[in-house]
Amino acid sequence: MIRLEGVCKSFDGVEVLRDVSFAVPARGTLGLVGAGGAGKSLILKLLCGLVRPDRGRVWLGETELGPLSERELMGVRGRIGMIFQNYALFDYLTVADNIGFPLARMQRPAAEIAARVQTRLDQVHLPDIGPRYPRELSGGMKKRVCLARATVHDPPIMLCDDPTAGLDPVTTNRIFRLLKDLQAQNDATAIIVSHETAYLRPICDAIALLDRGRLVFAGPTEAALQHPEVRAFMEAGVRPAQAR
Amino acid sequence: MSSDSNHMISFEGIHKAFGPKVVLSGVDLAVREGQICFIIGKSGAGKSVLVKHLVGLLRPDAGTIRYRDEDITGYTERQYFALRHRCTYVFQHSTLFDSMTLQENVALPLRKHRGMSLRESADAAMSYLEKVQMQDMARRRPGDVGDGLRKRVAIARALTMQPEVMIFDEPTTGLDPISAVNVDALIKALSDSEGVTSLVVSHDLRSIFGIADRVVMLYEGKVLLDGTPDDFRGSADPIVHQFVNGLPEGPMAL
Amino acid sequence: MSEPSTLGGLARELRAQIGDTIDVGRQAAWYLVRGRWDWPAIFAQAHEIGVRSVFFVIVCLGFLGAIINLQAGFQATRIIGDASLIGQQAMPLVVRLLGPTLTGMMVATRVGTGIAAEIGSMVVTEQVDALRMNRAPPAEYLVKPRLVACMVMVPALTTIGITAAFFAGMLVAAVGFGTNPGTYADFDVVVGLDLIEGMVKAAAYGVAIPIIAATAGLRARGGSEGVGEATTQAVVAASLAVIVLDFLISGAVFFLR
Repeated sequence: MIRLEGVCKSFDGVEVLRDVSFAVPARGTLGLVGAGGAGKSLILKLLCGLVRPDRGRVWLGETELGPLSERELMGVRGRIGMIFQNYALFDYLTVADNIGFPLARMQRPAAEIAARVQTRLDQVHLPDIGPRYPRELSGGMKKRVCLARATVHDPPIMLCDDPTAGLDPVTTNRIFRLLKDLQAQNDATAIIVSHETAYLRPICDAIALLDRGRLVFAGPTEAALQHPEVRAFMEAGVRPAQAR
Repeated sequence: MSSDSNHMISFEGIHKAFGPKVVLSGVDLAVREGQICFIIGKSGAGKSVLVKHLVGLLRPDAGTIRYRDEDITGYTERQYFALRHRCTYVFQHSTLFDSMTLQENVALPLRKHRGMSLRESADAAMSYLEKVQMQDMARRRPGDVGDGLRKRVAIARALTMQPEVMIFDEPTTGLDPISAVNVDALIKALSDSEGVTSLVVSHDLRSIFGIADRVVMLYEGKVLLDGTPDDFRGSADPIVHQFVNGLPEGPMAL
Repeated sequence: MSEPSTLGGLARELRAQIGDTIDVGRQAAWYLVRGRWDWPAIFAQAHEIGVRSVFFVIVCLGFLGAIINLQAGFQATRIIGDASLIGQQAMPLVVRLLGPTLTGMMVATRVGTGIAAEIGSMVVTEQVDALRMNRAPPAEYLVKPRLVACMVMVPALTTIGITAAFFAGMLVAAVGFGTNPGTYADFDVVVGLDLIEGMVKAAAYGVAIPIIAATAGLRARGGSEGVGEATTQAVVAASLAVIVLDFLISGAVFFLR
């Protein structure tokens, strides 16, 4: 469903991704881990064509993103639900308008939008906050609104950039559970970037570890945990401290 | 001044509300010298709000704050400036200057607040960078190193004030597991070697069970539990139990 | 963030900025013809850009009209001892040069910074990426309403400003130098070409300012310091554009006369 082949990307002469290749099958869940600045977020942005690779190819399903224009990419992105690291909620729109935004841009009828927004609000256990603004919400509530917005159009692909950053363990677990529920509901393929390795392990069927732009390993969770570097990362604290 | 208690910091009956929203409703907490005390709780429980009272970034609606048994509640902003050198605050997001090297970032407060010359401050900055094992990267800029390393430099910069107390606001949030473990080890080492009293705001269970001497959990404006990590792990309180195991279901409000 | 410390770096930076501005302008033009018309957003921007600048423009241009007539009056009484024609000396200058350009400068600072800061902070908080993810191209969703609003509002503000300058000047001329308001308001001296020149300039500024400011905002990188940098860049570039356009259009009209 998702495939990267030999992807390289540099910014201002600094190589951020070096020859990265991996694939995620339909309905699969890949946990993408690595230190800050390893290029995890960049991979998600490459997958939705927000950034273009210098070399290499990116496929979503049967579509190769490389030759598409920005306007053609707009259509492809309709199949993706993206959860941004910094929430990226529109602060001048109400929560309901934020969640309904993808549908409004697809020019769906207002009644349908309102109904689907309410369904999603109920699913993320925030039934009454539609008229409020993002600035009035706590971090955990905003993350749930992000989840609702990212999935309101039933996307077959979900990309989640650190969906639980800065949240307490209980909220973290709740977010991951919601994410899995929404993924199952849409039969979606997902990539989850996160540092919460303990929570990630049970919900991912594959793990990929990036280290300074290089892919160390990508494969089924079982096999990943056999790999020494991935194992050290997933069970950090076991390996003696080293500067990073 | 009472001499029988040797509390470094004490909060007594702190109340704080922002408009109609009550965040703290009577928090009592006393921390001994050299302790690593974790303030934990769910997002929005008022953890940062509490510690900001110590350095006068926020003022309580009611209650008393003591520092080394001195009542500092009524301090003026100018008095707090002096206190903020003894109690430094390491912010969640590194506030290093992008245009300066790491060494220059650390040297800046040495020149500004400790009156060192350019040469002296550069040498001293190196010794502080050594304390956080960053001496090899002194000439790099903040943008060229990872989040975990920036956090280390921010800690080195805070150390230049030779603080007695360091307040860490979510020091491991957003860090990958290995960097997080390294930052935890650094906080522990500072407590052991420099005798620094640390107040750590966090909800990172890994850090709590790794380095805390003491854990204080805030819930609905009050202290729910105050004890050692073992007390915390073995607590029968259903809310503490839910938090420590990160269970999605339980009595904790959504 | 790399700083352009060398002259070469500065030139590269400038070239990139101009290139991006042209690119944003081209996309905005495409969506102006083909894209959706988000009227609520356009009216909101027109209010923000136009209505909320009116007071500022009236006060500044009013004083400008007063000052020019005062200066013209002093000169006229000293040299020819007659100040009856000061309106006819001052008004063409106000209509084709000072009115549009000063209004343009004021819009460049007040509105240009607003646009750059707003879009810049949306970039650094990933809101612009979120727009692009949801079939809302920034050129259509963010730039177009601001462009349309400025294209209408800058000429309107210019007209209001010129009017304010006219009446303030008339007052100064009448009170200070005893000029007959009827003589002062003799419009024959302001030829059609002056009016056209003034309005062409105003329209040009109305196109250039929002596109330059929006580009600066879209180029913002990093955190809040990136937004600050974008805002500064927007004011500098937009003011520069006003001056350069003023020169080019004045030159073109000179050859047409």
